Amino acid sequence: MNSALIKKTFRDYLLLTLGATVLLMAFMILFMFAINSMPLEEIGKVWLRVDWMRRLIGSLIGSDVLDSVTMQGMVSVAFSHPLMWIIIIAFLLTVTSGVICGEVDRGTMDLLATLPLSRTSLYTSLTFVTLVLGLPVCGAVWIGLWLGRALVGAHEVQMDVMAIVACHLYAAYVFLACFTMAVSAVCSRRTTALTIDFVAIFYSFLLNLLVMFWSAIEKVAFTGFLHYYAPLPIVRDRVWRWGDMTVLILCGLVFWTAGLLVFRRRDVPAR
Amino acid sequence: MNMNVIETQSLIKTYGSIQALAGLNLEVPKGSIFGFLGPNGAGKTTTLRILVGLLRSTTGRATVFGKDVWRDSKVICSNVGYLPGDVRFHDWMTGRAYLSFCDQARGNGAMAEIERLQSRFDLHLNRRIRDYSRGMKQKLGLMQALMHRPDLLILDEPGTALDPLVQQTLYEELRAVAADGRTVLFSSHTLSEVEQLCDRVAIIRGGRLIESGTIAALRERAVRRVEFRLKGGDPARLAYPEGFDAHVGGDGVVTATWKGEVDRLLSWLATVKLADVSIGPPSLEDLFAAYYREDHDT
Repeated sequence: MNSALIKKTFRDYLLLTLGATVLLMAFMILFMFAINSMPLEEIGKVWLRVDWMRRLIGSLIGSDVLDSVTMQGMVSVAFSHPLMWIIIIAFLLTVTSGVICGEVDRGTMDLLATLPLSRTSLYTSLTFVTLVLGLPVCGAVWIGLWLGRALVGAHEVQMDVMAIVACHLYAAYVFLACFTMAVSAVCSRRTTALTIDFVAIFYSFLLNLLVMFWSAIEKVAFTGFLHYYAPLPIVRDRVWRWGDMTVLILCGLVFWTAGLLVFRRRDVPAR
Repeated sequence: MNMNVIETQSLIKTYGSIQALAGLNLEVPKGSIFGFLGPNGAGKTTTLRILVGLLRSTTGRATVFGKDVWRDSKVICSNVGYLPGDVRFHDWMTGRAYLSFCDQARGNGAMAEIERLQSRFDLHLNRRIRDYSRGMKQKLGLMQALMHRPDLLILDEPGTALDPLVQQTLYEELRAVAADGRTVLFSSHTLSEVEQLCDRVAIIRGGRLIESGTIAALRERAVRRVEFRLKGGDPARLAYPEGFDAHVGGDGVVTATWKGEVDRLLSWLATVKLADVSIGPPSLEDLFAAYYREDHDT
């Protein structure tokens, strides 16, 4: 890895990381206020009446919401909320599509790739930055929850259990970072990379949702990354789901390695 | 001992069905300023990009400092300064921050040279690159190529967008590089630049080397422009010697190009009754234009 490249890339994405972190914390604080203002029994009744909404939320948190109609259970919804995913995925795609195929697309890769760095060092350094930037971003979800909990006085929310969920969230982030880095390493146009990333991520969300309505889909549910990220069972059972985390990280590693192999062999075309 | 810094043998590069290089053989001697010429699409940029490891040749062999350009690109790039044809930077950085980054990535030690080059090229390094003009970006590109005093400079049309004064500064810097025993390979379309600077040139067309040699040797092969007017008689009726490509103007002035020995030209002119005659120096421009035209014709 090259320290100059790492420092430069950190500087390049510092503001974006700060922005994503602040947004996620603000979202979690607002979410805590919203949850705290509604009686849990009423929420349970609404979910019983509106079945599709119950299934929709169940698809995100990985279990039936009625399994745990508690403050802790409600908070797990925030860890799968579409707004949270939008912020994290938008941040991640901006970084990963910007660092390799973005450089090729802009024409700046010409000078970067002719510095005395191996392609492996270039790819590894940029991946390292992406993974490190994910720590404050995923951590912001937990910190925002902690701040919201303190502000609304919801002390029944156990932060140690939510820390386990945050670690699982980071494992999902690692998978997405590795996958999108691989796509970035293969593409020469940023729009192409973003399209591939978006289609793959949307596929996972769609699969996760359809499983709740159509049992036949269960056979292929394992192909979406959200299958391995289920906050409610973690909160409910207070356990680390090591199997899921291992699958996410190993699959990420496979994609990452494939991206590296292609990047080491590919041409850098003139802009 | 091999004195060639760059060598390519039967270098082929294809993009799908398009063949950009069709078996290029090139040798660039150490310590020379080597001009690389050719019409648009001839394969100049592709060659330079292969030499710095941005592109991988389809077949053939290319070495820099005796090392394979693809396998050993990291080692090679530590001692090469490269300027792409269309240089692009991270626009949000200042010029100084960018050069500082390049210096750190190369292992530091170039700050003194950066300061010297800044005064030579007169560039405001504290401004953001997005506020630079095209010429200023070109100067920054040249500075990043020169700042670590590499043994080989590979420059793709370095004079582009530079004003004549800065061009002279660039030429002085490149001559100093060569005087130091280091090597410069640059592509250009500007023949005056090539004539002023180069010891040797290579002309590439259709992905193949069609001419290579010293400027002096090429000049010998170049044509001379001849212009004369007869004291009387019809110039169209003259028996012109072989190698004399004449065109008779409406005013009776004959303009021609002469390819061959000067003695033979003078002997023939002595047999003609002349009112006026002028013979120009050998023109590389005409020679290159002929190569370029052949490409157009084919």
